[in-house]
Amino acid sequence: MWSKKYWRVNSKIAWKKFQKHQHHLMGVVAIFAIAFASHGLYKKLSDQSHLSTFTEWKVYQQNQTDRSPASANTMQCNLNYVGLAQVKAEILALEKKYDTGTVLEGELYGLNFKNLKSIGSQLVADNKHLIGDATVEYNFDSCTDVPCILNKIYQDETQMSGNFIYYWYLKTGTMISSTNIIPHQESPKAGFYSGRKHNYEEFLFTKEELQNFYFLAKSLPEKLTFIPIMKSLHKVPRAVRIEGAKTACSVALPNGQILLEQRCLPQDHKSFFVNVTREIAKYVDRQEGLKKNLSSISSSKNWVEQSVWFKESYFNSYNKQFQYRWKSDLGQENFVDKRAMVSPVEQVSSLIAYYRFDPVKFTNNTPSDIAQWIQSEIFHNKSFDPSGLYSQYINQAIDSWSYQEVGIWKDCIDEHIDMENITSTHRDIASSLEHPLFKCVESKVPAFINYVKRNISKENFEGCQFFTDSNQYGHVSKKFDDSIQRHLVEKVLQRKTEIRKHGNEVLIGQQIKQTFIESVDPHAVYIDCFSYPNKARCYKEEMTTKLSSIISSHSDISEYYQGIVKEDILGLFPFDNIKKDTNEMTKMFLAPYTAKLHQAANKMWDSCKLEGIDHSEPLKLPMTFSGGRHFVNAKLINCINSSVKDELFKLAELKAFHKIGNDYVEFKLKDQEQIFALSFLEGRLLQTLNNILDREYSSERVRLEDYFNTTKTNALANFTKDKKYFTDIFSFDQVSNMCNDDIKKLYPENYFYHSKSEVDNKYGRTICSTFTGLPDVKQRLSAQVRDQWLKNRKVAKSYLEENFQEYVDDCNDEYSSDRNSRRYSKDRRLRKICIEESYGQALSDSIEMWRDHEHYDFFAQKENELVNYFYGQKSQIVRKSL
Amino acid sequence: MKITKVVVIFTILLISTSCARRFNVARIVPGVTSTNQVIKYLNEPQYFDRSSFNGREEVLIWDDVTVQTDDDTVTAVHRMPASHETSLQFWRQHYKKSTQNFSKVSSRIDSGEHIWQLNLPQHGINVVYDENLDQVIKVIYYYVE
Repeated sequence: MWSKKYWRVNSKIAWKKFQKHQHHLMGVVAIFAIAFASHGLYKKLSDQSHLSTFTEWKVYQQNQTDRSPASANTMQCNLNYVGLAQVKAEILALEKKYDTGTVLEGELYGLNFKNLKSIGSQLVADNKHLIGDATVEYNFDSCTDVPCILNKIYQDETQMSGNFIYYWYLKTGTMISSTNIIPHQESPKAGFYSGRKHNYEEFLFTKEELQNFYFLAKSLPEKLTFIPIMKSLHKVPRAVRIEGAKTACSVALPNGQILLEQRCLPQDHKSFFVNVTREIAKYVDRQEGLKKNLSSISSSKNWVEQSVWFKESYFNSYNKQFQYRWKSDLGQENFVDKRAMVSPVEQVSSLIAYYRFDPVKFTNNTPSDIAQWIQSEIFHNKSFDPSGLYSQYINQAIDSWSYQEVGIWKDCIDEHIDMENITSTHRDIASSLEHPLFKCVESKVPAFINYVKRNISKENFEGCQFFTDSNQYGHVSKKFDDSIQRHLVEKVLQRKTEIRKHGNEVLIGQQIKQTFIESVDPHAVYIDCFSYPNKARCYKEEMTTKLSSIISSHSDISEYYQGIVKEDILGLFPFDNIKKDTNEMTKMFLAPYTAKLHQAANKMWDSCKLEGIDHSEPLKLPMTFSGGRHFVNAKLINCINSSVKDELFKLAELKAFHKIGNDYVEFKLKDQEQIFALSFLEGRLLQTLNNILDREYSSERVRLEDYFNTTKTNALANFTKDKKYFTDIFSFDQVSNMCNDDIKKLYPENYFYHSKSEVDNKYGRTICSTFTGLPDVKQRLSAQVRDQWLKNRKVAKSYLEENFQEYVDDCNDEYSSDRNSRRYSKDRRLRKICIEESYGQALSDSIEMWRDHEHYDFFAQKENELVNYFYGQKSQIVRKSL
Repeated sequence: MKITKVVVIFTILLISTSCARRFNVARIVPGVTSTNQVIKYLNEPQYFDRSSFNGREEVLIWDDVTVQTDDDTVTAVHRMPASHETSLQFWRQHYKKSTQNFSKVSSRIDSGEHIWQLNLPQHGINVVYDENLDQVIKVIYYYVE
């Protein structure tokens, strides 16, 4: 046996056997290779360094959540009833996802933030001003979680209200207000709205409404959650309308707050969801516009032209009012409802709301090009109608199989392949499609289908409904069950056939798939492509390049099978899905840091205010933060704008960390990821600055009112006693000017949000006109002014008399006034005419002289009165001189 | 070199055309300029009809300018803001020593928009600001008696 001849002969025989049964042997080798390759697929992704930080973070958080003993075993799939335990379990799972290892400092009514979970403390820190009756002091020191605080405010013993509000915050990043101050309300007082006082409870959403918010939070797609420029939702008291609104029952304010009247919150789920989502979508309109360097999608030229909108505007020069209205040449049948016909803003937001919650109406009432845009740009080509959901979930299930199949084959190989008798086994596998190995894989299909359905239900509320609500989805759900079974059996058959025909190449294809999944993070590729104008093309090219480089390292795979492998692998990571997933992961990562952003914004603002005001400093352009509609002292706004960019970069250097044993695991954003994160942060920072400005402006307005009320009382008392106001007074204007100069010395040192002239007009001049209007002051001033006027008139009269006398003398010289003269009779008439005409001339000369008088400015407006007075005196004066 | 020359000449032509247009818009004075003069400065409008807000007045509309006329005399000129004029803050600061009347533009129907106007009566200027977009969208010069 050990001779050379033995080995030479047997190796020749073995080679001949190999050549004869090459395919079979390769098939067996492929199976073994798949078995070993599956080990790689089960390696934890967090061991890989090619991953984006967001992916690493997500994987870490998922592992944390999966280990939690309190994960919900049941899912909420209907819109009817939800129990407290269900909501609490969901909240617990969400809280873990946001755990960052950081602790916030601060307290609210006796509650220390350190006692709360990090995301809970963030809610309270960011939204203190939206919690509770603004006129009441609460005591929360016995609370250990956020729902407790809110339940105390709502006085809800069922505890549902607080949990619903918290759930909404965790799912959307925005707050449901429980305060009695509505943003931008006319009255500065809490509890007052639309001209009257309301009980605190009228500002609170009912439990039924909060339950609808809970279901809505489950239903909103990625684009409509964690919108950086959206802040909070507020209920307007039942009996009144939104201030300033004409017909609408809901308004989205520019600084991120949504106001809702009772009639926009019906019991009917669909109407509730459409009404609220319509307002949320207005922020999506702006946010998506900002991403494309537009102000909003609805205001873009493309959108306006596509929907054939035309804006008519007019300026009324008499009442100085600007008017406008929108008109569209699209017929009524191309709008989803009446509200959508009012303007492009309403049209876009309505389309988004109806696409999600009434897809049938959306499809029937929307031109196809507009519908396509909404579907792809806002909803990542996701559908919500029954047939759309069916297609999505079938594709999702097939992709999931493609991802998981290596593991499934591994399990069956372990079960059915006798490694010791591999030679006979491989012949059986190759000769029969009914081998137990294949039967085993097929038998796993039903369990896999249940796994996929469970995952879809867990990740999507509408998916949950798809598989449970037989009324709405029974027919498509059954179709799904039938189709997916068939699809997967075909996939298994396809693999069987491939193993028989291509043996070796199937092996290589699986290796390539394994290598690609382990070494390429599609989210990282998307982030790298974020700065490109055509992101989708960049992503496709990058992924193809990476795949091609992996394929090229395997030379023994035919071009034909390379094509199959490429299609198979790239189909696992479609651009729209990756874009949506990356946005979601990033928002989850950034969500716990809004408190940090809020702190940074407040710190920046306070430090700039410390530098004081300067009324003469010019505004520096361009501005990142413009101050919105408020006036902001130029020094303050210049300071903020010089700090904004630096603060943003500091914020983008975000990192989260977790303690594992005695070590800390750090998740720090890489350069490109910081740029990506900035796209979410910038809008949020600017919105936060706008919210700060709103509050500062309101506060300054109240402060100035109070200040000048006190100043007015003191000033009026002091000025009334001040002799200078009643000495040498020639006019009321003179007194007003003196008063204005004195009042300005009493202005507060710093006022940032009112210009000097605004303070003058609103407060200074008002005080002075009150002063001059006081009865006693008015009487004294009137007497003073009258005396001075009489004196001045007397001066003017002296000028007139002097000038007139000169003219009279001239007349007398020319026409004899001597009665004894021969010419007296003849000249008498001419002399009279001369003197009468001289009066007008003398008056004119006198007025000229009077205009040079030092006090002329005080009496200039009385010139006509003076002239009329002297003309009244003419006959008397002329008679005297005749 | 030749391409550079072509590019430079083309750029200069574009800039001068744009500046000429702006200059011509600036020549229109409310209360003074006639309709014929307006058409002479700006060429034929894309749209010319009675205003649906005030039947006495006519509106002439181009892409960048709208002119209102009454009895053949311009009453108001609407133009787009220049790049440095798009923030309301610029106007508030530039005219901070003048009387400013700031009010919300009311419409019969809620359009989902938040439009404000900053009126500068001493200068015959009305600045229209869209708070949602945080941008000045129109500058109107009107006749001051």
